[in-house]
Formats: sequence, structure tokens, C-alpha cells
Amino acid sequence: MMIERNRTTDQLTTADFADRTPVPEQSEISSWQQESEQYPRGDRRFEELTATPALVRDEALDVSSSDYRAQDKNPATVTPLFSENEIGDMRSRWNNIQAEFVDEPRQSVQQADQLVATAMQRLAEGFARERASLEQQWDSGDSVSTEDLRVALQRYRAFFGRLLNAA
Amino acid sequence: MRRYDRTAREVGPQRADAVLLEREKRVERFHIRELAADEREQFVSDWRMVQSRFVDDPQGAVVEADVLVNRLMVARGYPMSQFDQRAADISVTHPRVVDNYRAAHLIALRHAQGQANTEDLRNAIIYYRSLFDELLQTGAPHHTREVA
Repeated sequence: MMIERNRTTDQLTTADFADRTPVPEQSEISSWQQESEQYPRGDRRFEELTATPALVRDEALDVSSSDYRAQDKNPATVTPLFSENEIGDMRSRWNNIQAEFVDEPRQSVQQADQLVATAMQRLAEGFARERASLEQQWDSGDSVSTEDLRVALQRYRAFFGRLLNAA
Repeated sequence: MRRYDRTAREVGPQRADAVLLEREKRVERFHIRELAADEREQFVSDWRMVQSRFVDDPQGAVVEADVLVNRLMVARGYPMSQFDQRAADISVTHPRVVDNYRAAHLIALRHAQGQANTEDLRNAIIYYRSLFDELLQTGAPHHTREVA
């Protein structure tokens, strides 16, 4: 077993991840603002959105709940943040890292950082893909259904809630 | 030679040879046996849990490591006994790692008096493991660390 592995530049760390996080450009922000203006208060679709029974009022941003999916009245609408395979893979990598702490504490911490960075990157990629797909629909003139937006918002809320809730 | 030196230090040079011979005779009466494959797997998996526990509870992990080594000794056919007797038995069958075993035990005792830090406890786990691995008789034992 190696005593200490030098960090090579191609290994992801949380610091790299923070450095690489792109700051949204002003044009992107305004494009989102424009889209949201399509649903002003009083608009029927806005009412549909808020009147949807799932989650919106009672449990909105209830960050004290330990598991959003468990409380979701309609679990099918909330896609898990990671696939089962990804979860299994990352859990097993974590278990290895933790078990090897006794032998190589420093390396263990470095690997934990890499794993966390990988998880953050995968999450960000997943959300970026989803947003890109929504934007593609808007750009091609297809109307994005309120239901799609509702589900998208739920996913963001689930992610946000877990971030705030993280133990 | 190291065994003799230690024993001579403990009981005096006149009695050292007799004590060592006595230890060997005692161990010859044990019925040391091999572990079945599934037993060994269970021990390997239990050890892994101990190592994982260290991150949350270093002291608890050291206590468990000691308990697990005892369990493994009993499973291999060593009689239940106090630490000094166990170490004496091990000095006959696994002289290469008995000093590690004593060092680990010492760290556990020192920790009970608030005199061992996390790094000491980490070393205790690694010392216990050197004996654990030999008792498991795995093909490729972990690197053992000699205690000065």
C-alpha cells in the first residue's frame, strides 16, 4: 500500500469543483426571468400550479423532514437524485475509504474529498441536463407544460432540502 | 532470542529457560484447529467493521479489536484466559507478532488512563491486526509493524 499518493491534477477535489462552478451569465438569468413572466399571478396555469395538491403548501420547504420522497403524496413525480447503481457504487466506495482510514488516514481523507466532489459533479450534471432539456423545449417553441415545471421545481426543492438537511 | 530476553527480564535469567519450556508444554496440550472458510470470512468481515468503526469511535474500535482477537483465539482452540496468559501462549505460537499484541494492549490500558491519543489508538488497531491476520492464516498477511 502506498504511504502517500501525490495528488495529480486529473483527480477531482471539492476545491476544483468550487473553482469550476460557472457563474451564470446575465443573459441566462434574464432568460429565466422572462420565462417566469409567462406565468404571472392570476394566470390560470399559475393557479393550477399552486392548487396542485402535492406538497406545495403544507410541506413547501419543510427542510426538517428527513426524507422528502417518503412524504411525497405522489412519489412517482420525484425522480431520485442518483440512480440505484450510482448509489450502490458510491456507498461501496465510501465504505472502502472509511475502512482504510486506519491504514492511511491522510489518503483516506483525500479520497473522501474526491468522492464527495464526484457526487457533487454528478448531481450538478443531472440538474444541468434537466435544465438544458427544458430550455431546448422553450427554444424550439414547444410549450413546456406546467406539470413538467412542477416536477422540475420539486426536484430542485428535494435537492435543496437535502442540502440544508444534510447531517 | 527476543523471547528469551523478555522472559529473562520478567522472571530472571535463572528461571527464563524453565518458564519458556513450561509455556511450550502448555501450548502443546491445546487443540489448535483451522477455521472453516465461512468462519474465516465472518472474521474478516467483522474485522472490517471494526476498522470502519474507528472513524466514529476510535476507543470503541480498539475495545472491539481486542474482543475480536480473543474470539478468534478461542475459535482457533486457545483456552480463555487473562491477557498475560494469552500473550504467553501467543509468544509460543506466533512469536513474530506477540510484541505487537502486547503493544496494542498497552495502548488500550494507557487510553483508559487518558494517556493515549487518536494516533496511538490507530496504531493499536494495526498492532492487533498483525496478530489477527496471523491467527487467520491468510495467504497474504498485512505488513506488520515491529514494535521497538
